[in-house]
Amino acid sequence: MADSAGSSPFAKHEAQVSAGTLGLWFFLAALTILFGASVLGYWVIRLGAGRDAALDLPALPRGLWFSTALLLASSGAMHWALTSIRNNRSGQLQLGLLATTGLGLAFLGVQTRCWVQWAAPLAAALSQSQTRFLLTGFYVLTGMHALHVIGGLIPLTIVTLRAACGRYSPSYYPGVRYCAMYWYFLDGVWLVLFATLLLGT
Amino acid sequence: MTTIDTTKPTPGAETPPVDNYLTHSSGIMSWLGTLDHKRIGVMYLVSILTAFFLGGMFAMLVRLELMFPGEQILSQDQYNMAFTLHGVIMVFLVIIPSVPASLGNFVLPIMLGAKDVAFPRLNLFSYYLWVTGAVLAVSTVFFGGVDTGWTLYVPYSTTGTEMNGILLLTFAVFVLGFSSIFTGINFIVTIHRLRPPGMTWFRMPLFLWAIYATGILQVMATPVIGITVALLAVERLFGIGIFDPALGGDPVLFQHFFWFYSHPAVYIMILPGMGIISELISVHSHKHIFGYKFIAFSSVAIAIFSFIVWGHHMFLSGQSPLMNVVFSAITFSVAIPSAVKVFNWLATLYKGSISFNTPMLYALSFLVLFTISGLTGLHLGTLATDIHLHDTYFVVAHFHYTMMGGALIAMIGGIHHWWPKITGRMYSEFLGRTACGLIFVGFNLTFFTQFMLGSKGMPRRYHDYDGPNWTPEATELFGTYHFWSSIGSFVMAAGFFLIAFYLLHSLFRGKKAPANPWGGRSLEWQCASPPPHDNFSEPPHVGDPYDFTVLEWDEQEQGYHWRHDLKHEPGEA
Ligand code: HEM
Ligand SMILES: [Cu+2]
Repeated sequence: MADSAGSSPFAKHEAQVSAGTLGLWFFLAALTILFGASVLGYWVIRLGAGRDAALDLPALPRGLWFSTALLLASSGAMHWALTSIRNNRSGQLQLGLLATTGLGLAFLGVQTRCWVQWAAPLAAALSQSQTRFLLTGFYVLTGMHALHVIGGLIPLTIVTLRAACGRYSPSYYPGVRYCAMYWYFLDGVWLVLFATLLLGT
Repeated sequence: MTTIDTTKPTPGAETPPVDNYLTHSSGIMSWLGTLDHKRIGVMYLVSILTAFFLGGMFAMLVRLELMFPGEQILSQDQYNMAFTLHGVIMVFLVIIPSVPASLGNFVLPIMLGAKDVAFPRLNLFSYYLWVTGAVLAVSTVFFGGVDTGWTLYVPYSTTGTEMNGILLLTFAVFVLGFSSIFTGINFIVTIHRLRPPGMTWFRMPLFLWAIYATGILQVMATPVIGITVALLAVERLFGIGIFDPALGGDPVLFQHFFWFYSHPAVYIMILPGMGIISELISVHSHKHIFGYKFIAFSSVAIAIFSFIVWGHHMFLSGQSPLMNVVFSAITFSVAIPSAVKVFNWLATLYKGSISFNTPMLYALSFLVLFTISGLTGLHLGTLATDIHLHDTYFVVAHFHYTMMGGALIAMIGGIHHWWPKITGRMYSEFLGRTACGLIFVGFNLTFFTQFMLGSKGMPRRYHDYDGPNWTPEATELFGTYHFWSSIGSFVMAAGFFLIAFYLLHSLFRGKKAPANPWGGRSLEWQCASPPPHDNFSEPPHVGDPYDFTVLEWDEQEQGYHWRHDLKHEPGEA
């Protein structure tokens, strides 16, 4: 859904951008179902495992609170970037995008640390079949989310570079807009996943 | 693979009439890197038909094995792999993408009056995702094969030895899923945003409504199969219990996930086919489609209903009796919008001046076969009968009547309908009708016998029906049915080879096709055959897509024309 040049079947730029936005909405709908199904699956097994299954689980790594804060902050930076370009402050746009990318990377770093922290309890718990799933549920949910963050960082980097080249103006900033939509979405998904994990363990 | 078509359409300029999308640029790279929806559609068509050939070969192996009691040509393991690969190829590589990706890609923008789909690059990307998925899926043969059946049921898929095959296959299904999602998004947005002035929702040909409803299903259902196979892969790789009961997982959860996608997926397969049938029936009986809005909305209704019936595949999986009753009841209600369509088609045929052209013969075959499939679906949706019929050849026959007799026959009808448009050539009508007859007879011989096999108790996916576990009477009875079923499949294969022959022949020797050989009224018949590179140099003239009274036959051109006594001409032409 990159802004395609030259080959666009649309007569006007605005039409192209609004079509891109609509397409992205549908894509986000598909991802919602992807994450929704995994959360649902998690709950089916979690409730099937019974109330006490969580008792012998180690507490969730503290770092998750920190990474949540980082992700929220990066969404804030994204929002700042978006309002900046709308008001034609391209310097702040670049700064905002850089901050988003940086905070996103930091988020991934903290997540990795949490995974490593939990690896030891995982090894210890692998003998008990019930806690097993709950542990891997943690890895599957956070891992899937992390993959989508990585997937988002790639276009975000491109957009940041383009912003540095001065490609966007208040009347034309599709890349920024698409990235922002995606980024808010990832933020929302993370909050749901985090809540699920907190309640489940 | 990312070379971009460097030739730019000449804006506004009078393109000489000889220039069309086929001659517009040449060289292999101008195809592999094309952003033209027509060329992408043709590439899909060729690729999907190749996959169909491969899947058909595996089917032949299966039929040869079952033709007589006792082991014929395949060992038990080879047999399991053959039917699995047959199913995987036919479902994931052929029927699911078939109509939207190939014919849909080709005709959707033209029918709509647009230059291209909304995201041409994404379109090409979807194609390469398909290719990647196809290569991965087929290459499982070299990595120990897969023997679980196309449904990948746990615990077959978690405990078998064919580890690498399963992993490859889950990855392939995942990639193919994304291809399908992107195609769906592309078409939905195209229909929303690229309708030219005058093309209102209710002036869209019904094929487009069908593609739209399919797109919604592709976007909303496919992620679920994605997560299912991803979890399966995680489970295999790390040996953790998600679905495998031996490790504390829940195998019924897998079935819920799988069918939550795969039931809507059967409508991803059939809805575009139904769309084609609406076009064929109306155009070839030269009569306005009956009940346009009913057909349009029944597509949407089917799409919505299809999300809440998946449990009918699991009546015997141990789900609660209450769930069974609910799923059974909802399953019956899906039959209603399907029947609405069938009655509307019949009403369209009634008193039409029907031309029995090859595409029309396929449409009529569809009506017969799809009706049989829907009615037998009701037997399966009824709890009491399903206990007897579940996992027998009755189910095999049912879904072949839907997927092959329905979706695939519609696609072949569509190929014949749009072949003159796609290639600019006419094929031999005589051979076309002959092949259609062969396929119709062969199909019924192959699969009607399987209804009988199933109701007599022959289980599906069995390598053999001989030996100490079978009574001699059963072996003899099943042997007879299996024998005729195999004969039928050979007749069908002959029909398909005949089609391949005369279609290829027509490319070189076929008569030049007129712009409108059948008397169609939708916009693709307003541009030349084959269409020019950018479809319409001016916005086309949009009218009622099923008002055929404005057309008349032109003997000299061997095609239809705008009537001379009427003032304005369609488009510019
Ligand atoms: C009137 C509409 C239909 C009804 C009521 C219906 C009902 C059913 C039921 C109850 C089953 C499960 C049988 C069992 O496993 O015991 C079934 C299986 C199946 N149906 Fe349908 N069906 C309908 C239409 C379709 C269509 C349109 C398609 C595809 C284009 C389709 C494809 C399949 C497939 C692939 C299976 C078996 C899958 C497997 O177990 O491998 N059905 N159908
Ligand atoms: Cu179903």
